[in-house]
Amino acid sequence: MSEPGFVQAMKTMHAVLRGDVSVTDGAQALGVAEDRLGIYSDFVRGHVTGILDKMYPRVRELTGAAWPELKQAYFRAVPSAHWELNACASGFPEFLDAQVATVDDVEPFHVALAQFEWEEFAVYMAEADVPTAAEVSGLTLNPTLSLLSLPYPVVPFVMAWDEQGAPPADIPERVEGGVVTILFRRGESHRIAFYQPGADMLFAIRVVYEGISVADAAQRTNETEDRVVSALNQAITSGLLIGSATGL
Amino acid sequence: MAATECPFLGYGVGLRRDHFDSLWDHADSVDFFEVLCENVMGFGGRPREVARQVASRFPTVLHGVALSIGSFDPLNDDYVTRLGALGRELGAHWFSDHLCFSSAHGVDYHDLIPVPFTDEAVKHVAGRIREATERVELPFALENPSYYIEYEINALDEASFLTQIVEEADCQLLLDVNNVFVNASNHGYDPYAFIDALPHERVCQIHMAGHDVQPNVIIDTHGAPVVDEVLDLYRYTIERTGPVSTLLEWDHNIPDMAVLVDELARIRAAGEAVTQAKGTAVPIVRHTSDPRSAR
Repeated sequence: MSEPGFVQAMKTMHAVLRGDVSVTDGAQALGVAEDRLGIYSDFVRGHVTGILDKMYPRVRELTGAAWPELKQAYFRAVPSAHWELNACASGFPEFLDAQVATVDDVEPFHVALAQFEWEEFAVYMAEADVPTAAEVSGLTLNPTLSLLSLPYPVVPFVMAWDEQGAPPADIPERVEGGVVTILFRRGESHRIAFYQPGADMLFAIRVVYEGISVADAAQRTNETEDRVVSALNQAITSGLLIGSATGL
Repeated sequence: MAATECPFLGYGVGLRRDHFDSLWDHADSVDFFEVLCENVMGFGGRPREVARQVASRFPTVLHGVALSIGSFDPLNDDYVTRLGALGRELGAHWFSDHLCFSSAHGVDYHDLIPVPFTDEAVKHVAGRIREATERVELPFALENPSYYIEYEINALDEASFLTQIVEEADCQLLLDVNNVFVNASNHGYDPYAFIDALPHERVCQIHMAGHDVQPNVIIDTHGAPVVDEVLDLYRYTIERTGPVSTLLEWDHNIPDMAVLVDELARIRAAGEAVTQAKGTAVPIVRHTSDPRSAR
């Protein structure tokens, strides 16, 4: 049995919207006005490229003249496959990685920066509710915590950019073994916090993740209990941990 | 739910991020909120928190752009499941989406693509509405979208297509009066005759919005005040439907909440003038926690 006409028409529309069929040919096949069909073609493409502009402002600035073509190429290569509009940008870091070898203005650092920028949004939209200290027993990790291992020190680069209102002059050096980068959403303000964590912050994560008591943590690290509590309190103040250090 | 059982929620606005902080300063000027489900369903954090706060004070309805009720793909399980959960979480009165397809072959367009107006499409869309309604477990209202092309294979006029679908699906109609004006202008028909042809008893909600007039086409932008011609068409509609929950949409160039509620007041005045003159006014159904419910 042949497909109903309306399904055939919708499939032709799909081909036009994906750029597989030109607007001119599509308009002829559908018997519609070419300029009107072009409205849809422009809208659909513009939604995706507009989200890339919004999600990757730093990569956009650093890639400069290459950016417009990168957006168009991404639209063609990575069809949007999620009902939430912003999610259409999730595949961009991987796409960008594949462009390093062929596009002069795209460097490996840009890929790491794109991974960071996407993660900022992913943490912002994370569905987990961040509890208040009163809602948890003991001490717990912020449920929106995301740990990345990036090949570049992206966090200091981004912080310097934010402070001076312009991109730093030099791209940082690659770090063998990667750089741990953490992001989480603060409970009350809902603001995104990001760190290149020092030893104390990583230690605090480990203590809570492994459920170690303050006394055991002090013993394992040859530190005083006061030193352990101090590290935990700093992590609580930052929003990385929730609860009370005395709860361990 | 029969249309006559749709509660009259009064005059509302869409919940937008730009107004998360300021909406409470204007709480007495808004009767209900429409929550854009795609802006909340996949999100925690602030959007979810504000949606919950709003739902604890105001009646809410859900509105979407990604159900893709006309598509030939199966309904998206994740989307429909989350939609039902959000409706329960917020205690929404109904959910709505557009007569269009917004995805196909697993690709999301994030836009409202018109479905050809054919008899086969009527049956196809009506069947999917029944399925969605059953799975989401809320009444469904189908919105007439703006559209810019007329397929050569169209066999029905727009009003007949819309009417046959809502009748066959036994669902409600979300009548976007601005879309009627935009479509009538772009496709050369009489907007008043279009309103006359609709099943008025199924209209459970009305959308009002602004548009952008371009040289050869009017674009439904939701980015400007409601024009007088659309307000006139709204009055004409309310004369025929009686009081209907009416929502102002503003999605681009979003103004301050103060401007939004001033625009809403203009619509409210138009609607109330008609229902008072016709003797069809009814009380607004409010949330039990709303101080106005005791007045």
